[in-house]
Amino acid sequence: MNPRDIEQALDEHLGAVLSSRRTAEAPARGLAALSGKQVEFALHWTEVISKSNSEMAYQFVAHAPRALAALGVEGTRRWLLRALEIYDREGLYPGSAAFADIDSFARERRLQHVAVELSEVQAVLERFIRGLAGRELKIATAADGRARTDTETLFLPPRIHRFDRREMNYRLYKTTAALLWAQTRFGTFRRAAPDAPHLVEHIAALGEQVGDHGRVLRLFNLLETIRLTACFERELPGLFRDMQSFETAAAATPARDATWRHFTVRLQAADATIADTLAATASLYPLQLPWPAAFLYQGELDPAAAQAVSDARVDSERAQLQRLLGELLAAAQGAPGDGDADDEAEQRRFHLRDDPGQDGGIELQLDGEAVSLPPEAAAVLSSLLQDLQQLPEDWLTPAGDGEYPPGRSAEATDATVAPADSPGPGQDDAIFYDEWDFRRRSYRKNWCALRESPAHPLHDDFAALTVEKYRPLVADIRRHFEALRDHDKLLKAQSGGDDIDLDALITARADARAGTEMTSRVFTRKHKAERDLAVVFMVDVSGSTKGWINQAERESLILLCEALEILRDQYAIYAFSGMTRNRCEIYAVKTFAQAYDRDTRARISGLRPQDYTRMGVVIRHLSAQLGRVEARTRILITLSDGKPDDYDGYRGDYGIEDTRQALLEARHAGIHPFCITIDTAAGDYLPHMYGHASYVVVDEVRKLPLKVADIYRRLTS
Amino acid sequence: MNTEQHLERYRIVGEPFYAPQGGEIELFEAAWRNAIPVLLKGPTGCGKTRFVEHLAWRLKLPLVTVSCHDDLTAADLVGRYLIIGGETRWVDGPLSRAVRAGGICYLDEIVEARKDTTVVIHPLADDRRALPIEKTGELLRAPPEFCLAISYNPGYQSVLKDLKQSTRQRFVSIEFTYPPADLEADIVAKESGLDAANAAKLVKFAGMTRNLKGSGLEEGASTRLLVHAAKLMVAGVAPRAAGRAAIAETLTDDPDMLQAVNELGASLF
Repeated sequence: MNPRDIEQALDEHLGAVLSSRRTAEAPARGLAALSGKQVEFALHWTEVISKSNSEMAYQFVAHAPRALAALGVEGTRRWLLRALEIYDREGLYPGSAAFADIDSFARERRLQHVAVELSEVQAVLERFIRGLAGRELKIATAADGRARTDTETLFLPPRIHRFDRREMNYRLYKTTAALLWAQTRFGTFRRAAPDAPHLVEHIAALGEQVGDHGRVLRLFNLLETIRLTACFERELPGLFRDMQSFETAAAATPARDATWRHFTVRLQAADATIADTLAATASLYPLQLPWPAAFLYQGELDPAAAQAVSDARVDSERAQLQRLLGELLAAAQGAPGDGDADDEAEQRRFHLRDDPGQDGGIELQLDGEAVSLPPEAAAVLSSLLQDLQQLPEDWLTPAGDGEYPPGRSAEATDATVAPADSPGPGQDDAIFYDEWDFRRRSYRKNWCALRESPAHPLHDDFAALTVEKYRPLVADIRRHFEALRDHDKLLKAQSGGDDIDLDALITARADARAGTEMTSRVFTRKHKAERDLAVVFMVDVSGSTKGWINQAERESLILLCEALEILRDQYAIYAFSGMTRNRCEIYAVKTFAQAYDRDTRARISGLRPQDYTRMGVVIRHLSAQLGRVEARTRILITLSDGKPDDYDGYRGDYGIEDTRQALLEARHAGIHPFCITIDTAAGDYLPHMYGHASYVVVDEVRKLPLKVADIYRRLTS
Repeated sequence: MNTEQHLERYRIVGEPFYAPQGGEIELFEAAWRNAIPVLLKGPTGCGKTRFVEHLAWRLKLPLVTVSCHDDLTAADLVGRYLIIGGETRWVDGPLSRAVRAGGICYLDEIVEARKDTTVVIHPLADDRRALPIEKTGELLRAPPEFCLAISYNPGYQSVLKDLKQSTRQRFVSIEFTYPPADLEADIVAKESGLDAANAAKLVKFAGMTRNLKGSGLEEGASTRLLVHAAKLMVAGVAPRAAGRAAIAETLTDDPDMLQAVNELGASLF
């Protein structure tokens, strides 16, 4: 199409907004440079838009050539649709502004593909950081986008879209997290001794001495990053290369300056410490040199937060260390309570020695002899030594078997779980279990009191009705499960085995006499049934299961029992609920020893919703039960409708982490945990608790009875 | 019977490489001289089997190794009748063979075997030092050179597979752990021919995976895995690829964990 034809077409559509000073000539010239197809596209949309508003149509056609060049046809279509949406919603002025702003639209579009969200990479980064070693660090979103650490949590921005390649954005996440890790690992916040000043005090002093506090902190951070980057170069060259890949010529200018270079070289030495960084800051600040640009992967420093967290941690770890040393000493001296041992204890001394042979190795000595530390003590000790270069001798004085160290921070759980009513062992028939506190990264000892009682039976026709209701399904289940059945048996006429099969041998000999070939299948072999498994079903009867869910759970149990009776798998069923850690209840519906009889059916029928869902303690209890059963494979199946939740703060991360820990313990004891849930949001937390392949979400409550037996069959075949 | 000739094949000719961590060689020798059986404890791939091979070579004893599995029965250890040329003939199992010849019988991962096997080893493991062979009515008396060694991994086995006290209290126990970093690097370098710098990096990598034990990984990378990775590297595989194939993918299937372990490897090489 030639410009004249285009202009004519535009005149037709845009007539209302054209005048002698604003003709269609300029846009027509722009369009003429495009390909025929693009011109067609532009004219088509000009016509369409002009039906809504001619000025919008004019704005469109004026920007269309640039949009087509930047976004392509499909991108341009989205761009104009969005502008129309804005016009519809907000009016002409914002609408035409949206046409003009092609660049930011293009950038956003690109970002959708290349931005990396913290939520996508958090799990990987957490494991990565834990693998790098040192103290365990959590990762959390920094709402304000400022990457920093308080020495216990790494705060990272919610998303990174700095580069237009996804891979580079991810790399920036990784290196940013690694640098924050390095601050805690390579001593940015470390002090010589407990009474030495914190970093925040050093910075404040420097600020008073030489100038602006904020600028001092900025310079210090920059220099410290240089020091830490050199640590990476020595220890983790792969990460160092990743860091280098961001760097451009920006850092080059001041490096040419001799003074600057002098300090940089000092900071990059293997023995450089935080004192060198402070010295360099003090010397360089007054010189008024231009500073190089900040490193991309360098976060911000928050020494005040680090001080608060570190003080609290050091206190609690000191108490913990002394308690553990007390235990260690008691163990070293044999039985506690021995009169002589107490006298001796006062003379025995722990002593800390740096073990130069090993990387960061520390050796604890008792009266000059090396002691091998249990993992918990080693972790506490190495965490303390990350905060303090040296521990005062009296910190190594063992404490008696004292109280559990106080929580570091007044968090909701600690406040609501009043220690006043802490369960005293041996009150009644309660069994006490530890509970995992993820904030302390240790167990609360004997925290939960659990009582086991038989479930309340309700003798009615519920079981019969259920079997009747699902009659076709029951038949189906029976048939499928029959196929899985297996017995111990003696296999005859085998080609190899434990003993000789005399019948087969006689036949074979007779055959040989008769001149035919003698078979070699003359042995007997014991075939042991492969299905040697025990399973416990742990049924959630918390308040939230009221109504349909409870009905579906009971029906599922009936169908399941019908199926399991065919297989002769060993199984037990327990329902659980409770309120607070002092009243965790577990109801035995069917123990391993009990048969599936009238009474069991009555107990299933009688299950009713109770209170809350404290899962960890129940898992621990049932794992112990399972451990006592003899079977090759042991399975713990949870039937649940939601997250762990209890009245006294057992919710959110606390509940999930304790449950996860209990499941890890179970796995460690050789039990396979599995979860069947009807919580459709379970994808958010179950993979973390049970692992990716160990749960099933049944999305409709009514389907639960149909599914449970089938899930079990697939799980065990 | 040609057991003796047969057993010659079980002699270890060249010295198997073993770097001692502490006094374990002396301990084993002392136990052997006093006819006490030995229990080796430790995680997988830390050198238990190699240790036994090394001692068999040192003591010039034939070594019969049995890797126990859950279908291993007492008959598999002691022996059974076979029909050969129309006649039944008794054939010794590995345990009887080692007893007759006065060698080392090493039962690897003993708890994996069926329970009846432990009964067979009991009379051998106390001062009777005898192996009754039920089917032939024979009572095999072990010569002084005979040595019973079993291994067991306390780390990941289930409670049920725990070794019973009545069994374990017959043994002298030697605990194995992963060697200290510099020694482990030496071992990796020696076993694979990898240069010292890269061997040290591999050991560091292993340390990182061991940090993850309990928080998603069942077990950290063993020395054996490091040697595998090192051999791949010597064969020209790029370090990151070798770490991925020999270590990360071997340790876990969980995608997040896999990526994290790979990142750890990449941070070093």
